[in-house]
Amino acid sequence: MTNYQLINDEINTKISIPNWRLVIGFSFVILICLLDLSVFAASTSLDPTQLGIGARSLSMGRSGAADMCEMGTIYINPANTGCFKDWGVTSMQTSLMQSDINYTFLAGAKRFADDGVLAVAYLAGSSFGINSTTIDANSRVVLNGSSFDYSNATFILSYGKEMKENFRLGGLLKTVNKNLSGQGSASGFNFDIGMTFVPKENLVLGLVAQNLMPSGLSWGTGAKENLPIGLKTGISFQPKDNLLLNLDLDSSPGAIHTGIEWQLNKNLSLRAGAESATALNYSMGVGIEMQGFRFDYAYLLDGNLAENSTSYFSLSFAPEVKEPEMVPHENDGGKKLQLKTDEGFPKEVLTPSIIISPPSLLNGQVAPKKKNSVKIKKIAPKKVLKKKQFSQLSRKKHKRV
Amino acid sequence: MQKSFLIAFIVFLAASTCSAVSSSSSYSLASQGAGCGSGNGSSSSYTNKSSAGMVTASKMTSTNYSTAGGSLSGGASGAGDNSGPIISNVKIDSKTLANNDYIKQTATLTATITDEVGVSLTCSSIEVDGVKTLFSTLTSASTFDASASTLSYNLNLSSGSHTIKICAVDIKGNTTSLTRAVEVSSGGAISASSVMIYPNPFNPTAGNARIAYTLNTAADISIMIFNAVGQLTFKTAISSGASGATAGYNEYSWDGKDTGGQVVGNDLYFVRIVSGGKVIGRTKLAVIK
Repeated sequence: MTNYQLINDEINTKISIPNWRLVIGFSFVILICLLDLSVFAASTSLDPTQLGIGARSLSMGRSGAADMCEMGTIYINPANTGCFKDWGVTSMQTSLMQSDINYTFLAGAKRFADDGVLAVAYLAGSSFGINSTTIDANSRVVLNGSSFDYSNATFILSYGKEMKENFRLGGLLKTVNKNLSGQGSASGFNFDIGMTFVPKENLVLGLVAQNLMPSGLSWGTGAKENLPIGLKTGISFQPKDNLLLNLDLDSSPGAIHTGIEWQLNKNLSLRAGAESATALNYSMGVGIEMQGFRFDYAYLLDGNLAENSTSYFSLSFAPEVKEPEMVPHENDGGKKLQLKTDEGFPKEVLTPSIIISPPSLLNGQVAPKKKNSVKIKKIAPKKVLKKKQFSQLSRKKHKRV
Repeated sequence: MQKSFLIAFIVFLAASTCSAVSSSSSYSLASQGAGCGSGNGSSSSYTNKSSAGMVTASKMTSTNYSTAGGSLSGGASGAGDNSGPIISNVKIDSKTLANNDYIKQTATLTATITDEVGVSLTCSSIEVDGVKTLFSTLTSASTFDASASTLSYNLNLSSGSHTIKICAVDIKGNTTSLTRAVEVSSGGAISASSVMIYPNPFNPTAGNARIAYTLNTAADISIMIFNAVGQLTFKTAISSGASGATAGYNEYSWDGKDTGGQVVGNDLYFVRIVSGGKVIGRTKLAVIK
């Protein structure tokens, strides 16, 4: 089969202009929201999702605001939820602070008929044996023989959808509960909104506003605290099919996250990253993928205190989605190419924007400027698909669940 | 015969006034000095059994005594004094000394010893690992200032466990003793034991938190506080020998603010005592406002 690259300025312009308007408009809304909320900035309480979820993202410096199709990163950017092909589940386990606190993460995502994807996630942390104290006759601090426990639980509901061919939007609702047994507890909810935008086939931009609701947590003592309002921006760049570079800027807590993933083959990926927060923290990891199952391992070196360095383990499953292929158009005597998936020929690919001119124009000739005429040249089919079918077709990273 | 027996009994009673309160005491009647134990014969001892503050006290007679802030009193009864001197403000290098404290090899022990009828210098003594020194024979480096009722004693100890005992006797022979077990670091790894925080839970709007820890030796340390997802919230460094980084019991007062000066949120925090890049002590702290 002959393969073609589509270069059609007229069509590209039609795609880009509305999306840029969406991007700018949405960004403006986010910034206004953050400016308004800064007025309410008061005592803040920790957002447990700042833990970082998913060993893949963690091994890449906790990055993933821009189009990292990874279920663990829906908490970073809910727009990432919209990239899942079908359904999947994932889990993560870790112990922090020399095993003083344990965290468990469970999540599942499912694509629905409207092409929206709904994800549900649960993050729970627990720590036991916090000692109460008193003062003795020597005015010294001593144990009083009693202790209490701590737990937090965050329930996440995230929805993402591809609004345009290169623009994804997502929203995330989370409920946060914290409990110090016998001492006090708090509950509350908040929400994030995010988007991803694809200006070029190998470049993705992400923007997220987090915890947009003031007074997110109400304590039994009467205290009200905000979960930290934050703005994240991210860039994901794929210079080669098996190489991914991420860069995130995070306002709360102020940090820079960067990561690299090198996919050695379809089963094995190596990762590294760094984040600059209160110290420079390096990370590394590996991913092993086989028949829909994926095991990820991450190790984070704590720049503040080496003994706080931590291992993270993730186990995920998502059914493999067969990539569509280009086949001759049946109604055109094989002169035009179209996309074929397991479900058949999607209607949208029959629109003029993705129909490629017949082979008779292949010899470097430029077709006359009319609506459906294009200039073509030989390239690999996957790149054609990536350019025009951002959501339907997947780059390697889009396969991640 | 009966008179001789009575005299012998009185002498025996006088000799046993200090040694009776502690089985580890080893001094003899001969070293007690003339006239020691000629009073009412009351005696009391005071020993902390653990650094956690469990206190036991015993007395040989039914004298009234009280303990507060590490002091021991035989009570006060004027001319009919039948209680021993009060031993208080027992400190090592200006820090209150509790049982099982770590101290430096060379340190100065101070204590206040008062009694309404007067402290007998020839009967009162300080005893280190069973070796007794009478107040009357203290050298110029170690003294008992009768006018200020202050004992100052220079210690020079080897590594390991030691016992220090102060035996105070008034001129009527009433006795009070106080015993402390102390530890001198053998120079191995630096450690911070008994890391505790008061109050816990802690409300930053109601005052500071007292972060307490016992160092086995003076050392450069850092106190680091992390939040529940491992992010560094607060850090301070203390130089060796400065307040908070001496051998023995130390405290650091934290106002509940992060490194940016903001009061931290309600949550769980992890406190780390760090020296040489290694965690030498740790505990957990809850904050609830």
